[in-house]
Amino acid sequence: MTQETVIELVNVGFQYTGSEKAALKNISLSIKKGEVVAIVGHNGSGKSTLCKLFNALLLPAEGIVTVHGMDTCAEQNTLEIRRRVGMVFQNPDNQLVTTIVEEDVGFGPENLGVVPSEIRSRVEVALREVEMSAYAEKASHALSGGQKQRVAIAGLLAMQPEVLVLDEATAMLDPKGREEVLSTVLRLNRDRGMTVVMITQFMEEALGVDRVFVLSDGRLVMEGTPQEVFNERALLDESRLEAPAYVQLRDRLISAGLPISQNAMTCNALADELARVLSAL
Amino acid sequence: MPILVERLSHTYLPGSALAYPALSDISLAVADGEFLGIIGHTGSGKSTLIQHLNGLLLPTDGNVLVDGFNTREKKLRKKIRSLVGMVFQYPEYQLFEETVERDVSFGPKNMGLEAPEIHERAFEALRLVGLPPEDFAEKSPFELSGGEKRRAALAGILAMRPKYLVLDEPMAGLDPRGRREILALIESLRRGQNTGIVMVSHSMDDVAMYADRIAVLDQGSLGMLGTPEEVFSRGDELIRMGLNLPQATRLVRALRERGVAIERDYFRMDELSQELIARWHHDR
Ligand SMILES: Nc1ncnc2c1ncn2[C@@H]1O[C@H](COP(=O)(O)OP(=O)(O)OP(=O)(O)O)[C@@H](O)[C@H]1O
Ligand SMILES: Nc1ncnc2c1ncn2[C@@H]1O[C@H](COP(=O)(O)OP(=O)(O)OP(=O)(O)O)[C@@H](O)[C@H]1O
Ligand SMILES: [Mg+2]
Ligand SMILES: [Mg+2]
Repeated sequence: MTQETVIELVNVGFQYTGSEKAALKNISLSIKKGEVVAIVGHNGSGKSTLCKLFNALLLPAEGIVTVHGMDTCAEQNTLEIRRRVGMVFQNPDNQLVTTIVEEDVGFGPENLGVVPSEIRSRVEVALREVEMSAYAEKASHALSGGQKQRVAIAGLLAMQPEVLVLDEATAMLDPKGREEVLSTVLRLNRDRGMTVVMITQFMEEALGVDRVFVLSDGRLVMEGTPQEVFNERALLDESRLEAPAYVQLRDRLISAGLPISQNAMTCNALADELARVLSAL
Repeated sequence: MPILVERLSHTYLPGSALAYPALSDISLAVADGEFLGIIGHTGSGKSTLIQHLNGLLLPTDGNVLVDGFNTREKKLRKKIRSLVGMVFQYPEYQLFEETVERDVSFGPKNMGLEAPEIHERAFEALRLVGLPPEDFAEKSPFELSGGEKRRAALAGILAMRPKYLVLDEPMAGLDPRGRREILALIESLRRGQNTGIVMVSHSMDDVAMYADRIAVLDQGSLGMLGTPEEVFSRGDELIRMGLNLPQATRLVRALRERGVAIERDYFRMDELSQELIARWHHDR
């Protein structure tokens, strides 16, 4: 099966002006249509910088970034690229630009030239999707931290981009909210073939994706399935990361001699294994 | 002396058409050297509550007393702010100077300390939060990554060496190792300096691990207040409130569903892992 490449980076380097050190070094990667990928890495490793290259918010100093073959450095492509690749920033305050929640959610589609009647229905659907309909007319600044994140996500959904880039978009949500957003995103991926790129510090969130990219000090140090990546304990450690808690527990049990499978990575999988081992005795 | 919250209610924009009752009738205390965890669903009132602890918000009803000082009294406000250090949910709110060092020095400077001491405290705090001053002191706070900003905001408060540390989701956006290190740092301040800690968190694991007591907010009311054991034994209620259980507790539940009898509940992975290993050796 040949899948269409949506985002491709070839030997990309980036350095902020005035900064002595490069934020990204020689990164090559490609993301296919319909893929769900996670980007993980220590603080300052370059995750947010990388994502901003995906939709031409930042331009590479070295190498090439293309979206559907369109060079992000060519100005005539910018609008089309932003229409296709939508992003939720790490801090929702950078996203909430107007005063009222529903205006904020409609801001993106409006900029894309969507007609007003269509904007209204998109805003309504997106707010419902994140369970913020009751807050449609509230002032954006008067929201709680997690409510702001939900509204920022609604703003992205209303743009109906082809690629969703979520920069720690669930960091402030309660456990249920985080699960809901994640399942919404996965549903959009399944039903509409949306490509999803999520940055996260919750390693367990990265378990459900197709591929994980690991950044460390501006370099792409690893790329693989969650299984492959989270079994590379030494490399994770060097990159200042840790495997998800259940994977760590699994490994502790295995080294203590319990005959459980290396494939168990989640609560349920581990419980299945343990139930087999403990009750078989 | 503790922080006392007495029958606190807070309504935003009271008297207007947009009046919003965010908290009602909350009473609790934070003792010296106590670690109080605060959990609750999105919009349950956590940030509103903790902004009362240093007088940033004033109660619509009720009182907040910090070591006996009422936050309503304007002339005590400076005193109270030096006792209670607060790190906001979004660190951007407290970073505004031109360099990271100046930002971190802002609090100590306001306390009237001498320049050498300010400098020393700022550098010490930066090292503690994992921002080596050689690399970060001269940077602009606006040119930091998300997690670096959070660390800088925390350093600014640590440099004041407050008696109470009030932290709103301090771990959000920190990398796994940073999370572990900062939690250990907070714990060492508590043990070494007897610093009282109030931490809002969406991580059930973090509060289960570190908190002496946990306050659970639900739609602006105090739904539960108790030890981690007490709170997390009421798992179904927590889940209904949009919360969850610590990962160890979830595994215990999943095992019971599969017919593996586990006598008591566990909140910590390390304890559960010992139990499982012991159990396996015993069964053999
Ligand atoms: N506007 C800027 N100007 C100069 N340097 C910057 C700027 N933004 C980020 N940096 C630096 O570039 C590096 C990469 O930052 P980036 O924000 O991409 O990291 P990140 O992986 O997203 O980190 P975090 O997990 O903390 O959000 C960091 O060392 C950071 O200090
Ligand atoms: N300035 C304000 N004006 C009006 N209402 C507000 C204001 N700030 C917060 N609120 C409302 O008060 C309620 C409690 O908000 P608060 O920020 O305390 O919640 P929280 O528990 O910290 O939530 P989160 O986990 O999302 O940060 C929310 O419903 C919010 O919309
Ligand atoms: Mg970032
Ligand atoms: Mg809050």
